[in-house]
Amino acid sequence: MRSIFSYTWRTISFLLLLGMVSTAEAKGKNEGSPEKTFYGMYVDIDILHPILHLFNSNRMGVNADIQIDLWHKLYPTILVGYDWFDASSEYSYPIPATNNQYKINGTYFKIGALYNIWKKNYEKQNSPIAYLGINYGISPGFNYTIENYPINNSYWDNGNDRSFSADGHTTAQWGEIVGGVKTPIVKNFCLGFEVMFKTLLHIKDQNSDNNIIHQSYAPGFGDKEAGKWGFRYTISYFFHL
Amino acid sequence: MNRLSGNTKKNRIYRMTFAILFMCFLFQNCVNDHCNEPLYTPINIAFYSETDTAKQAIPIGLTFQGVGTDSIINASGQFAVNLSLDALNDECLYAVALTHAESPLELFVLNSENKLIANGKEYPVKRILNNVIYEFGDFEDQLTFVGNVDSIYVFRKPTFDTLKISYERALEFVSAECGCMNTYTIKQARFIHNKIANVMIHTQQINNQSYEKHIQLYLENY
Repeated sequence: MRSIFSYTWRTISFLLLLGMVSTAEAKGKNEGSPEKTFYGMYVDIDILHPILHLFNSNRMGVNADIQIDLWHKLYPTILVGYDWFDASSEYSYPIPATNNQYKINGTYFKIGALYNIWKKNYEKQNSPIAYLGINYGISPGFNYTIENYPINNSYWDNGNDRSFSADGHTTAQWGEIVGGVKTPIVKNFCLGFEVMFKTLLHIKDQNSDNNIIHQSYAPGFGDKEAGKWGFRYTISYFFHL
Repeated sequence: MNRLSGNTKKNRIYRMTFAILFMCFLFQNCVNDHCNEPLYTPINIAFYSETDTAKQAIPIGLTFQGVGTDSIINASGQFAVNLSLDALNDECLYAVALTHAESPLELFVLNSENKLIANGKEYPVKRILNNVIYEFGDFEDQLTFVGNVDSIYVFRKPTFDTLKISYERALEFVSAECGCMNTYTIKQARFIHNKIANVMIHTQQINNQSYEKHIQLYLENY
């Protein structure tokens, strides 16, 4: 059920974005040539995840990035964020669990580059941009806590099932293709949104004492199975050089 | 005037796009996943004839019991049973009782106190399931009785074998939706000879992807 809904809306969203980007490209006419290399930098703060936390208390996240404006064309980007997930309520296997917990939290970083495909107004310091780009994401040493997940041994234990608990930290890495738009609203303040298509490169499974632990979530990436698409809504400030 | 209305239109489109995307994102966060992964990882044991190793044997009356448990499994030619999670001693001992055409017919009587009398000895009835009586005594003195709950029973006395399986166990935390799963690697399978003539490990790895036979038991005169 989830896959039908999520893929439908994601497809619609992506098509809308593509439509806007291609319209922008078609209309885009550059005015002049770059007057300088370094025009300034954007500091973006994501406003979507804090708002989502109001609707879903099982997840919380904040992130911010810096985008350096080179020639109004290329935007090297570095992002830092923190995510916290409580996936305890997602357990749905028929063996009953009591007080089970699965929580993940940690910091993540992204580094990448964006290319402005919108018309470039070189006379202005800050003008609307539409961009495509790539990011590399890493969440080094994020924490997980697993408690009281049932292990069925009813045949041998006469119904006294056992439970499994563990905690530790591990690392996730992923890649992203991003597309987005950003436009000034008041003076140097901008609003923007960004769509990401994410591919998980690696989540290190923990393997110790014959226990193998696969993670379902990674900070910055989200749900391993359903987290291929992501969104950001940002409010930014443009610092002039 | 036209320019103004064009700008208003454009702004409206942008606003609508933001709103649609935002609503969609909110919506997708309200839906949960379900566990679609099979997590049952039993050991599959099949019986074969010793004389014709390609022929799967179907013993007449076959019951299995993990030693130390009171759970009895009825089976025909093949069955699946759980391995134990005892971390200190990763091995399982099963009592295998089976009857065959040559098993001697014996007379059993259920007395007024619901005890079975066989060969002049009384045995307490531990379990009556679906009108069938099951009884396992101490491991050294095992008996199994099968028959309708009446006063007198005539049935074949089974033979007993013991199957010992040693293995390594691993516990896997599969996902938030599914929780945990056990996987095993069979190291050794031994038996106490009676009707079982030989044991072969067919597939060592036991996980939720494997539906193969793991252990093949070869029976005499089947």
